[in-house]
Amino acid sequence: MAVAAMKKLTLVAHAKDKRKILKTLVGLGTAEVAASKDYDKTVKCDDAGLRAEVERKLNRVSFAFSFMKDTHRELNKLSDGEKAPEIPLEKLNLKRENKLIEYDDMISEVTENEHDLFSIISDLEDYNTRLTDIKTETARLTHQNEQLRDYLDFDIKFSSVKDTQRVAMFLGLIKGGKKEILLEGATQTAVLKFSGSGDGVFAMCLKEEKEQISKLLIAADFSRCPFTQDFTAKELTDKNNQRINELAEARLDIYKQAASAFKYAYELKVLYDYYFIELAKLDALARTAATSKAFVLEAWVTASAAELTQSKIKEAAPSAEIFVSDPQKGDPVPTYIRSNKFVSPFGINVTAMYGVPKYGELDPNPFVAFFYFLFFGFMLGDAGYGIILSLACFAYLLFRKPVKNSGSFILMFGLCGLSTILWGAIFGGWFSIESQYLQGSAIGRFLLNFKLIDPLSGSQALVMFGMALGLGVIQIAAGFFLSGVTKFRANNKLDAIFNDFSWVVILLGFIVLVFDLLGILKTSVAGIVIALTGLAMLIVGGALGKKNPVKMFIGAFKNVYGGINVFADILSYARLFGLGLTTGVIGMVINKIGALIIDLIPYAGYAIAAVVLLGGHAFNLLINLLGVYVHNCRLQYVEFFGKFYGGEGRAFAPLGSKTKYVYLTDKLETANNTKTNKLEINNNPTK
Amino acid sequence: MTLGTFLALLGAALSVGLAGIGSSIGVGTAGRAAAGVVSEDPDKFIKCLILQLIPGTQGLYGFIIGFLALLKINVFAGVSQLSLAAGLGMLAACLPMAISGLFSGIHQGKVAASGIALVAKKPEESTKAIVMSAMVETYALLGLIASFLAVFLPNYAAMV
Repeated sequence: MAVAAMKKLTLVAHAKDKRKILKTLVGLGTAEVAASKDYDKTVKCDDAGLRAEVERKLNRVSFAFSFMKDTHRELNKLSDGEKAPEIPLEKLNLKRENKLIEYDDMISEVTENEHDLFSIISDLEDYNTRLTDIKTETARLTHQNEQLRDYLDFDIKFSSVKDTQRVAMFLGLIKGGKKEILLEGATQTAVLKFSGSGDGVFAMCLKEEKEQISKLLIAADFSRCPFTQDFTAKELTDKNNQRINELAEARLDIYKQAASAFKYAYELKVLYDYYFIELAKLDALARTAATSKAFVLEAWVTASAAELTQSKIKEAAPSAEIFVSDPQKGDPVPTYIRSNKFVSPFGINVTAMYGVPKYGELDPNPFVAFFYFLFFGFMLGDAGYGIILSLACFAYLLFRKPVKNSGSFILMFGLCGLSTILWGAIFGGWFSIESQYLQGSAIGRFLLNFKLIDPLSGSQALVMFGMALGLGVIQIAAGFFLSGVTKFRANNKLDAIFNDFSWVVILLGFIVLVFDLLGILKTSVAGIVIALTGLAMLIVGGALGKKNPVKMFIGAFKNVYGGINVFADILSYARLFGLGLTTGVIGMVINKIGALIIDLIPYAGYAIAAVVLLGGHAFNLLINLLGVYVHNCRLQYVEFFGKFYGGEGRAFAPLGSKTKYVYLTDKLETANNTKTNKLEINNNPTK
Repeated sequence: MTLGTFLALLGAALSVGLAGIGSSIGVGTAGRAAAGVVSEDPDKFIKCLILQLIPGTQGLYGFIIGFLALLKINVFAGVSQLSLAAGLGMLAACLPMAISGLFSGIHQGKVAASGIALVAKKPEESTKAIVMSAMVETYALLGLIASFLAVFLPNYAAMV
């Protein structure tokens, strides 16, 4: 349960073994490739061409996913409408799979399917092109139909609008409202027809009058009709509409065909992750020194997996030379934290959100796990909610069996549910049912046996308030203690004792003092003495290492003045009390409303009340879960981490650990477990 | 009803009302930002919704204080006749929640809206956005606790 020790693995090998070695590393999942020493001043291999190829393939698979998503949406939309009944809608799952596979299996699966999958993708690409064509044509036809609308009133073929021997003809559009110009200026023999909208105009006149009519038309901003087909506007529109319908059907057909690719979603995901890892490999290679014949690869491995990694590489490439060394000072060593089952969910979801510890720094996870667990139940404070939360989370874990760490968030809430049951029993919170009703039943009386504090009965609220601040004092003291330990390890012993441990002493003194005042301990002045000792240490701490007496005084003053911040931090734990109260009171309101409904409405009231109670408590649980999660995090980040923790480390990211759709197995922990069975590993090189 | 009881009811009303205003403005501000982000990427809905919800708690806190005040006045079973001093006391007790709820709700909404912008760019960092907006809530919580203690502990009904 700590930050795992790391080793640096340096290997020199033939260029031809490059792929084999990387494949081994991905399969093991134990090594993070580091940049070669003096990277900028060394030779390296240019894999740009290969990289572009891999990226192109990744893009094609991504396209397939987004196209399938569109297809699914379109088919969904169409099957809702009346136009296309009975479309068998196949399921499409583009979410991350809850599946753990071996890298070797991934490779063999990809080698087997790759050709078929890419031909499916090129089918999809083909469909996409056709859909684009259909879209363009439909848009063109729709646009044409709009243009034709102005001519629909003229029952004449466009091709017949041309001058004959004696007669001139015009068909086109004029500006709206300029109709009068034509009507007033037209000659007796001219024929004028206007469309319903008044924009379209057809004019016919004797050849001799052509010029005169032309002038009039120009004055009315006439533009000649662009159509010359051998159809009337109506015929052409009908023809277009028919074509649009055909295209819509063709579009549907294409989507239906595309839907047949849905069943390959899983294979495509594996394919995507395969190339995603290929890209990671190329990135790793880009950071290593290489000539055309050989290459040097440096990688970080956990100390426990170093031996296994070394032997596996030897197996893959017997000619490779491997050196394992301890990290040097100043090396950017990544952090890998090994925690037990209880601590690790808190480490992943609380600490890592803030930042992982630097290599060699103290691992705060056990403390975070303890306090987070403790505070969570205090803030939620209802055993009924705790039972529901734990049951729901553990049932999910049991049935879904999330692989690797994907279930850690749920596991954390499940554990916190246990804490909630504990605190809820102490506060007598069972779905906020008031104790006088609980008294009425045997189970209720049994549950009330655990009740120690009633937050809603007068002065006991103050006890709960005091407990909240007390928990704060404990966590802050722990923070100062850990800060002291860190400084102690860095050999700043005096600093640790007088600036950090002094606070632990002061806070301890306060705790003793409070116990004395409450009559729990009979210590007379011991508490004050302890606290004053701490204060004296703190004053010395401020003066430490300064020669000028004025500066010594200022330092000591600063240290004592800093006490204001410590007390502000402690007051911040009042939120434990505030949030605990929120859950209880809102729950009580919901129960009261339920009871009111039962009283007011006979018979049907029970059904309505049931809905109100269920919905209300679900709302209360959810909104408070959010609040508790957030405020618990804040207490860890600001009040606790502020004392001692930087979180400026870099998380260990071994080659092959980053995937998008499936999970790869790794040997990080198995290596740890089989460390003692080293012989076995050597004897069975295949396994 | 005595003037005292009226003042106590006024306190409850202010606590629920003002804190509710604060929350509704806050949730509204955050909601507008969230709608913008969701229009670009509907998959971020849940993350945005959580952030939008955060400034909503002030309204709940205000409601709690209002409810406790109503319990104290005993509105559910024959209203207590409070003296003028007791009524004024109850009114004053409700004010910390009312005021802190009003202003912290508005400002938390602004932080949540910025947090939603953060989610738009870096969805994996949403926890940080949530924690940042929780910073503002501290002061509403302090108001809640102050009001709770002041409403709940004294025996107003016996005050002359």
